[in-house]
Amino acid sequence: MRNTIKVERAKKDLTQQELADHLSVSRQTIIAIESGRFNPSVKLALKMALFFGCSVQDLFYLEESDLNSI
Amino acid sequence: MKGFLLPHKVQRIALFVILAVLFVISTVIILSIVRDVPTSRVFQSLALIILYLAIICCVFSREKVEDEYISSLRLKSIAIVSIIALMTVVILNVVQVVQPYDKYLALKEWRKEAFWSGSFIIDLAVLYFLILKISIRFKR
Repeated sequence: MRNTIKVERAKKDLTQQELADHLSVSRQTIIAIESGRFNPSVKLALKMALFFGCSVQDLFYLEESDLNSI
Repeated sequence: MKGFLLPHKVQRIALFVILAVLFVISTVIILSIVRDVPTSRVFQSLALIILYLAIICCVFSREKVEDEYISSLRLKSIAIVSIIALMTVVILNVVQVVQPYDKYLALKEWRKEAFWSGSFIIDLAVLYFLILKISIRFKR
């Protein structure tokens, strides 16, 4: 699964720490999500979508390989 | 997982206590060697109890920001420690079985001492804490 959080964060001109503070998570969590090492819960994904003013599908999307492995 | 963990402040205090106890123990041991005086049994027991309590407090306390990613790292650390514990038991069993009878009995006694004294559990707890801290620190 890939995501566009880094892009959305850059659009809002936020640092990882600032985004983490807004979402009440640690900076490590943001780093892990951005690098694709950690998939957030639905609750956190919805919180992120709400914060960036877009849908969850805009933030997170499946790759071709993910579709084949399901 | 957040529910049953102690506040983050406890971890800091516990870490300070661990360092203080280790410092006191090492000082007493050095002094007892230099002056050739044995350390009292009460002191040893008291120091160990404080050390064990501090380690348990440290292990069962929250991180500064306890979120779902930290929880996932906790679960992974627990899984790694469980595998290590299981492998240790399995390997020791295999090694014990292939030994000659006198060594088999000696190993059996040593295992009883190591596993039932409680230090094995404390070792695993320390290992879990170290793995968690390292994974939080370096998974960036």
